[in-house]
Amino acid sequence: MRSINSRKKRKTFRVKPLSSLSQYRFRIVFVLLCLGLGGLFLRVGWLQLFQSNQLRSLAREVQTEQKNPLGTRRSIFDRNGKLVAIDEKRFKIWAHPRYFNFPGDSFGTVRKPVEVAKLLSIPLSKSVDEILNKLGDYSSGVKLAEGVTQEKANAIKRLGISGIDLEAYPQRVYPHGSLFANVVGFLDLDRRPQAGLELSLDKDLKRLEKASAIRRGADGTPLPVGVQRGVFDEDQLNLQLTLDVRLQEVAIKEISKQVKEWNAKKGVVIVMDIETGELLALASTPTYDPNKYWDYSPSLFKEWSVQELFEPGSTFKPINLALALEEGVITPDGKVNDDGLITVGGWPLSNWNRKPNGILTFPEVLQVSSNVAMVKIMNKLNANNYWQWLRRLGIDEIPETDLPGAVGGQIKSKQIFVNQPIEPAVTSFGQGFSITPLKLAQLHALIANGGKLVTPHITKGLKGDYESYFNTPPEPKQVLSPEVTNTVLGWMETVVSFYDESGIEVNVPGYRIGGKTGTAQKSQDGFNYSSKICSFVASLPIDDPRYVVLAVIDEPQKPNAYGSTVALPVAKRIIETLLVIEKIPPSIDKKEHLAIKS
Amino acid sequence: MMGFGRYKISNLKIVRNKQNRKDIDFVIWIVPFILVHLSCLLIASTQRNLGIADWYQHAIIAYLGSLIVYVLAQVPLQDLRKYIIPIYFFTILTLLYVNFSGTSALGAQRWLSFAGLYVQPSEFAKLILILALASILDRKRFSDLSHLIKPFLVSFLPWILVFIQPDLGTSLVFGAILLGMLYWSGMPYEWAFIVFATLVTGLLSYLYKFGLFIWIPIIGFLSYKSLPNPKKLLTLFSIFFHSSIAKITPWFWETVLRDYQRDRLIIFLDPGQDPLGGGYHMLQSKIGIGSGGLIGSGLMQGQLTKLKFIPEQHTDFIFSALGEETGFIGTLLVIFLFFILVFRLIKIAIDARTDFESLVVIGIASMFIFQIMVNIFMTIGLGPVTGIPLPFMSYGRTALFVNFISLGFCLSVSRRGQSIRKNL
Repeated sequence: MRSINSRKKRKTFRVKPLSSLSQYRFRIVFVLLCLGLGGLFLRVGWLQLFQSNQLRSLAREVQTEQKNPLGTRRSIFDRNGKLVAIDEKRFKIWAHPRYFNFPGDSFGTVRKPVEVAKLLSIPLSKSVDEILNKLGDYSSGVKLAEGVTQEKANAIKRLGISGIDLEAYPQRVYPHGSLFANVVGFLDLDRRPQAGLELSLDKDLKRLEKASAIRRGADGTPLPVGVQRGVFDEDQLNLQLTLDVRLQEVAIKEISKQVKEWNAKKGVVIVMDIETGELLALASTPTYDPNKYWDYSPSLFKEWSVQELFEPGSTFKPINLALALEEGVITPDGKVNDDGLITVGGWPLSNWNRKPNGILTFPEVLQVSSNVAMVKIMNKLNANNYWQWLRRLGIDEIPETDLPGAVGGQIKSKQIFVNQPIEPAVTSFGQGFSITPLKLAQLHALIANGGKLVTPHITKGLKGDYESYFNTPPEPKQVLSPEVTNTVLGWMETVVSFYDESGIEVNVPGYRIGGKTGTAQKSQDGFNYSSKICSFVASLPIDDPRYVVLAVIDEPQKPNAYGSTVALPVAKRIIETLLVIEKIPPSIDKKEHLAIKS
Repeated sequence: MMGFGRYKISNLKIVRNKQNRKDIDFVIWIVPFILVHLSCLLIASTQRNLGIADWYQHAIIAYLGSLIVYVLAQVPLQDLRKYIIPIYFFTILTLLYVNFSGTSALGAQRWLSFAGLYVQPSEFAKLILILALASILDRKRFSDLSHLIKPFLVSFLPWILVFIQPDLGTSLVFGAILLGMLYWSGMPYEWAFIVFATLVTGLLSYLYKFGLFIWIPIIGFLSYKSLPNPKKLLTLFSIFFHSSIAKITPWFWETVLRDYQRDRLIIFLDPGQDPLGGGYHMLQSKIGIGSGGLIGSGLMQGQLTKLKFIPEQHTDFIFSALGEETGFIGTLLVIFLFFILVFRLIKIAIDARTDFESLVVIGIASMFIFQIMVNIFMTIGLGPVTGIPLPFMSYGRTALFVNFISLGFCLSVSRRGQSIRKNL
C-alpha cells in the first residue's frame, strides 16, 4: 500500500508541476536558442557575404611579401673574414594620420593620433607627446623616424597599423671606424661612393638585385605561386681585402702615437707580402671616420702614401747598390773611399754629418749611410744606363694596382739626367726624384724576393660561399738577378746589426732582419730644403724573406728627427706584432744549426 | 493493480510514439555523422603542412563512440544512478592527480597519460557533473535557498580543480551546465538573476565603481521581493555576497588570472590593440572565415588554412577552416545541424520519463549549446578566446568520445521516453 501511495504521489508530482513548468521553460529555451544561433547566422553571413572581398584582399596582403631593389652593396671583409664595411637595413617611418586604422577595425574607421602614438611609443623609443608633436595636424606624409633598426621595424610592422609606412633603405656602416677609412673610403648620404675602394670598385661592390613578390606561409615558407625566375638567387659575394684587422690596428695606433709625439704632419705604415704584393697593413694618419665623414676636411679623403710623392732619401741606397752590382760596375767585396765632400757640377755634396768615413766596404756604406760613397759608386754607372734602369724599375709609371688613385713617380727627363751630372749624383742617395711610399715598398720587395717587381694590391677578390672571383695580379716581372738582390739583402742585415751595436734597437731576438733608415731633405718649392721626411724600411726574415715593412713620417717638428729615431721605433713594434700574427718561427743561426746537426 | 495500469498506459504511449521517436533517433545519429565526416576533411586540410594530428584518429574515435552510443541506448539511465557517487569521486581524484602530475601543454596541465593514450579528465568531469547534478536536483522543489547548497558544492569541486589547471574554458562550461540544470529544475528566475547579476557586479566594480551604489540596492530590493523566509536575513546575505564580489573582482582580475587569460577575455573587445598576441587568433580566424565568401575555396583548398595562418585550427578554430573552405553555405549547414540537434535534445528532455533523465539531457544540451555558442562567437571575433572546443568538430579525442557518450545517454532517455506532451 505504501508503495502504491508513493508511486501515486510521484506520478501526480511529476506530471503536473513539471510539465507545466517545462512547457513554459521550453519556450524560453527555444527562443534563446533561436536568438543565439540566429545571431551567429547573421554575423557569419555578414562576414562571408558582405565583407568577404575586403577580408580576402587582407588575406592576400598578409601572405605576399614585396621586395624592391634597394641598391644594396656587398660587404667588405679583411683577410681573415672580419667585417670592414657592411650594409645594414634601416627604416624610415612615415605616418599618414588620415588612414590610421587598426587591424580588426571596420573599414573607414580612423583612429586618433593618440591611440597610434601610444602603440608606437615603445618600438620608436619616443614619448607619446614627442610623436604627437611630430604628427601635428598633418593628414599625411609625416616622417616619424629615420635609421630605425630591423628589430624595431619588425615590431612596428607587426602592429599592422594602416597609415604607418615603413620604407626600407640600406645604410653603409664601417664597424672599425677610421681604421680602414684611407683605403675603403665611404658613401655619402645619398649613397654615392666618394673615396677609396668604394669609389674605385663601385661596379664590383654593387649587388645584383631584382624586384620580386613572393607569397609566404605563416611560418615564412615561400609558396611556388607566380614566382619569377631568379627570385631566390641571392647575391652573396663579398669583397675580401688582403689587409689584416689586427695588424692594421697596431699599425694605426703606433703611427698615430709617433706622429703626435714628433708633432709631425702625417705618417704611413705599409706591410707588404714580397711574393704576392698583397698589403697586410696600410695605415696612415691623419685619417677620418667614414661613419661621420662630414666632420672632416675632404683633403683627408685620400690615401697619401699612394697619391703623394716624396724623395725617398737613404732608403733608396740599397736599390742603387743593386743596380751597380747588376751592371757590374762594383763587385760585392769592393771598397770605396769616403772623404766627406765631393763636388759635382759645381755643387758641393756631403754626408749628413758632414764628416768623412774613410775607406768603406759596401755594407759599411749602407751602415753609415754615406752620401759621398754613394755618389762615387753610382758615378761609375753610365748616366744614360742609370736613367734606363730607373725607367725599368717603373719609377715614373703608374703602378698596376687596385689601390684607388695611385700615381707614378717623377724622374728628370733623360736629357737633363744625362747632361747634368748633379742629377745622377743626387739620385744616388735618393734625392732629386720622387716616388710614393708604396713604390718604395715595392722596390724593397724586389730586393727581398730575388729581383721581381710585384703588383702591390689590397683586394683578394669577390668571395662567396658558392663562387668566388679572385683578383689575380699579373706575373711579376724579373728585373734584377737573384744573386745581386741577395747580396744587397745581406748588406741590409749588417745595417741592422750595426744599428744594434750603436744602440738603436731594431732586432727582435731570434729573428734576422734587414733594414735601412732614411732622412730625406724635403723641398717645398724645389729649392728650399727646410723640412725632413723620415723613413725606415725592413725586410724579414732574411733567411726566408716574406715581408717588407715600411714606416714613413712626414715633417717631424722636433730636433734630432732622423729615420732611426722617428720611423724605426714604429716599424719595430709593427714587426713584433707581424711575427706573432703570421706565426713566423725564429731563425736558427748557422752555428746553432750545425750544433743541432752534429 | 496500479502496476497493471501503468503498464497499459506505457504500452499505449509506445505505440503512439513510435514514428516520433524514430525521427528523434534519426537526428541524433545523422547530425554527428555529418559533422564528424566534414570535420575529418577539415582536420586533414589544416594538417596538410603541419602533421600534429591525424584526421583518421578523429574518425576512429567517432566510430568507436557510435558503438558506445548504441550500447548505452539499450541501458536505462536509471540503472547507472548507483554508480554516480563513486565515479564522481574517482573523477575528482583524477583531476587532483592531473593538477599535480599531468602532462602540460600551452601553460596548463590538462592531460593524463593512460595506457599510451592522453586523456583529458576535465572532459569526463563535465559528464559526471551532469549526472551528479541530475541526481541531486531530481524531484527537488525550490522553496528554500539551502536547496542550492548541494548543487553548488557538487559543481564547485570539479570547477575549482579545472580552473586551477588552468582551463578557463572548461570551467566556464561547468557553470553553464549548473545554470541550465538549475533553470530546468524550476529554480525561480529571480534567483538565477541574482546569481547572474554577480557578473554585472564584477564588471561594475572593475569598470565603473559608482554604478555599484545604484546596482547593489536594486539587488537588495529584488532579493527582498523574491527570496523565501527568513527574507531579511537572506536579503542581507545577498547584499553582502554582491558587495564581496565587488570587492574581490579587481583583486581576482589583477592577481589570480594569468596575463594570457586576461588578454583572451578582453581582447575580442578590441583585437587591434594586440594583433600579435591574443588578437592574432581572432583576426586571422575572422579573415579566414570571411575570405570564404558564399561558396568557399573548396575542401582542402583553403589558402590561409593550408598556410597555417590560424593557430590551433584543427582544435578550437576548426570553424574558421570550415568558413574558408565551404563558405557561407557550409557554415549555414553546420549551424543548422547544431540547431536541430540541440532542439531534439530539448525535446527528449521534455518527453523524458523521469525528472532525473530529463535533467541529464538538459545538462547535456546546456553543455552543447554553451560550447557551440562560445566557440563560434570566438572564431568570428565576437567573443573571448577561451579554448572551448566545438562539439563533434574540433580535434580532441577525449572530448569527442565524451560527446558520443552524452548522445548515448540521450538516446537511452529517448527510447524510454513518453509522449504525453507530444503536441509540443
